Amino acid sequence: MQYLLLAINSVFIGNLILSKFLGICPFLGVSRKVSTALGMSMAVLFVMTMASTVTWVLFYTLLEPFGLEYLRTIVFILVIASLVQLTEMAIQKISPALYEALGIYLPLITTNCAILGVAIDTIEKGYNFVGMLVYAVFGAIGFALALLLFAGLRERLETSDVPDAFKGAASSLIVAGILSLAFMGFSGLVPG
Amino acid sequence: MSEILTAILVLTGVGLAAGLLLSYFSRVFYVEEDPRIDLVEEALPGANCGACGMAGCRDYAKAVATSQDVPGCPVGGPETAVKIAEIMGSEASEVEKMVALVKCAGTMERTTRRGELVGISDCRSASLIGGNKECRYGCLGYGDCMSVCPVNAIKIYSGNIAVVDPDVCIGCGLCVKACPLGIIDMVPASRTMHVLCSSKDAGAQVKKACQVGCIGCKICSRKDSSFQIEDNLAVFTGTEGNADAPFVCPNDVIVDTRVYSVLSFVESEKAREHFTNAKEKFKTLEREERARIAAEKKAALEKAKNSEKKDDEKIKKSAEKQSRED
Amino acid sequence: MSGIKSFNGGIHPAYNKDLTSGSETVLMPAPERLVVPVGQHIGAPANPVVKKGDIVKLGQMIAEPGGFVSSPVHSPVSGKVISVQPEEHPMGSRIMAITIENDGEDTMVEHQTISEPLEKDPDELKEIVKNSGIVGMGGATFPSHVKLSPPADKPIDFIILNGAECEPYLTADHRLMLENPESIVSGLEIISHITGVKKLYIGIEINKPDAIKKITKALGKKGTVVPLAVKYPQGAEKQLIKAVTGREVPPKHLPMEVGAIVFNVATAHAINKAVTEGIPLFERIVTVTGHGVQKPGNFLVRTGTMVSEVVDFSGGYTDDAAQLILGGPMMGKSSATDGVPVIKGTGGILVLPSAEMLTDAWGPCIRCGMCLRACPNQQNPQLLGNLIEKGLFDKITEDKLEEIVLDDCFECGSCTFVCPANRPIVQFFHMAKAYFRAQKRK
Repeated sequence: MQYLLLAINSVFIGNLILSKFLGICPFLGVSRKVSTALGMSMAVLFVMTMASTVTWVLFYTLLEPFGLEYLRTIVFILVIASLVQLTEMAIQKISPALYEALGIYLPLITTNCAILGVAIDTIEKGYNFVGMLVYAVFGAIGFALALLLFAGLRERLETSDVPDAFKGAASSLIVAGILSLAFMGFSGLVPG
Repeated sequence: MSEILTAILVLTGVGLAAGLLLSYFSRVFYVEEDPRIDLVEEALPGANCGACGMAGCRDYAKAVATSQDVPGCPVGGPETAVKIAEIMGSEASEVEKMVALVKCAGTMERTTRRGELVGISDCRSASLIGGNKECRYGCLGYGDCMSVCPVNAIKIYSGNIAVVDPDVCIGCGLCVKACPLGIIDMVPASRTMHVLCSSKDAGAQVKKACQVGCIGCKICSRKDSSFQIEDNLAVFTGTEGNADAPFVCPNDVIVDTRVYSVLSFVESEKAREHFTNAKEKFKTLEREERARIAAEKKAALEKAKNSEKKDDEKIKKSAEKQSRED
Repeated sequence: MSGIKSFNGGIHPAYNKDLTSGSETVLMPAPERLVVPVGQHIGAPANPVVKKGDIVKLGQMIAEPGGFVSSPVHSPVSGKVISVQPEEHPMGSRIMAITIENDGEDTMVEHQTISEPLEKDPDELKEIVKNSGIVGMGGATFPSHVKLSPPADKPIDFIILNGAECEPYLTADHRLMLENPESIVSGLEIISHITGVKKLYIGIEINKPDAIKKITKALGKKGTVVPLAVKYPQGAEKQLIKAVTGREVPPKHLPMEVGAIVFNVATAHAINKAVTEGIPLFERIVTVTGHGVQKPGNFLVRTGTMVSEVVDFSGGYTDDAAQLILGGPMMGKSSATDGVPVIKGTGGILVLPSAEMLTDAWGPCIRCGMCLRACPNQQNPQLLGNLIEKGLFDKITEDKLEEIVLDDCFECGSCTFVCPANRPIVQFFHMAKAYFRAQKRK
């Protein structure tokens, strides 16, 4: 039950993009088309789960025993960056098909603050291993939800007659704001 | 003190491990790739902004390297486009810089109009009903090319003809594809003479439709053999061109960009006036020249006649002499 | 409304048929010079087989088919060919046309008449239809012999004759049904004989009670007359099939898929004339109408006659005539000039005075959804129209919607008619069709 609540919480209420405002870069950058948004979402799901797991393990096996909790941000950045690079190389070699689908989004994720945010958040909130997994997976699903919704809206926006001054980024940001407001309506869904 | 030391040690350790791992695996997982992808990626701004519609710069670089059909990087602008063209073009060995040219000078005043177009105003739709000009090859002037141009090199001026600014044009060729009539051509930027007409109609039809249409009379090709007539239309294939060629054209279709820019030749009444005067002058000179040559010929002919007469007299005289002697 | 059948969607425009429905068809004498385009049908244009200076007879084939989905063209008069060169075509392009000088004799080319067509071999009859240049006379001009040759794996259950004439203003089919019901029925019998189909229907809108009466009398027990609700586009192929048989043609499919073939009543008349009298298709009834002409009426016109000549013959334009439309107001094409010839598909010449012209500016889509309700094909003109307006053709291809644009939309114009923002939606579709066709050719 606790994990179910955590899952709902991380998809809707504490949505990474729309209420924590993490990962805005791909949210605006890769939301031109639904197809690219889908690829990006899949890549985020993949990396977020992996990165959270590795950083969680690293934190509790290396940093905590040595009393180096204050180093977690810098270590996590280092680890996530090299991990993403490594994964990209591995996928490219092992599964070209998967690389076609995800690979191109991986370098973008290196600099994605949502990944680091989730990794730090799990430590901050003191989740156990399962909690961390649930949080990472459903956080990524929430990310995907927001990204896909937004991409769909932007595709529709392209066929609309938008006043010249609002064309492009301006109207996209307004839409993003409204979407964020809409997601605020979910708060209170889970008590506490 | 030991705290700082452990911190440094742990961090160095993690960094070293990550670095070693990466360098090892980069060799294990090495995949052969088109080297141009890396070069193009380097030339890009590298912001991974996705403004091009693709997921990051590498994706874009890959698209550029595999096919030519990619819109320019909106962030990098023309500079990046030039760099990329260099990288991509170096393989195709010295690609000449090409610019777009709208081959029509039939402004509203110079052409016969068919009717008023009501409804969707763009070229694609207008071309379906044959346009609003009598000429089926005349620029429609609704600006389909203008709207696809990534660098705003094309503008529609008062004459309702699209004109490309060759200095701004990056030669991407999008306008060529956008034009439903196919009257935009890519021409070498170094070419200084253009035939501003695309009409393949017969001369009589052209004359009915437009004051500045090519009627395929072939006079220009006599002046300069790099003008070739195909399907009732003169096409200039050379680079420089004979400076007199524009003057011999009966319908003023040929522009010499060393004297007039295409824009002024199409749009400016002053330039046209100037051209007409220059043409008059040329014609007068030519007439005088012709008169001179004719006079010379005549003189030479008369001279020859005179000498003939003298010869005749000589023969007569000698004959008389002989007869007397006999 | 029991007993009166129809389809979903559609609109109710002002019909304005009383202008001409009461006037009998007048035979227009052939003019002195006729311009006969070789492309008078859908499919490959025909190839001219005569050259300048040739003497041709009335009904002589002057251009042969350029493929299977193509149709020959016959001389509408006897006389001399004075040129074979591209000329203005009613559709706006300039295509090859044969100009013939009329000698006024109307010497008919050798031809055979068949008094008992139902005893002949069906294939022989089909060959006659093919060689007579018969095309769909409702406006689509699809070669009829192609429709008469359904693939063996598609069993045909119904033959439907289309007498709906749902297009406003036009009364050419109406007059034909009143004046020549026997010929139409005979044509239907020949079609039935060729295809071997025994279930025959003739669909007629109930605003033509006199035609229903006449046709019912002529048809007797050979088939059924189906009265149809007055709604546009009732005469469209798929909508007619839905109304008459209750079967719905799925998107991206041909009517043969549900076992039905539809012919226009005028086509049936032409088939009858070709088979029994041996006269190929070179004339048709044209409705000259609208408040921009002095005397509206129906005229039997040879193909190749200039539109201007037809209008002059009818009584000329009014002073405030402003817009010329070839065809009806919904599906017809506005023409910039009346210097174009009447072709096999020209059912009407509509001239509107300036007061009736629609020149209002159009605005952005407000997503009211009225076009969705009006679309007889249950498609989404709103979304597709917007995509086309913004030039997002790639998106249409990506979402696999181009067949809907290309094949399902038949440009009835209902969406544009109902649009409160005056958006030229059907024109967008027209444009996209041209674009996708060009893409396919590449």
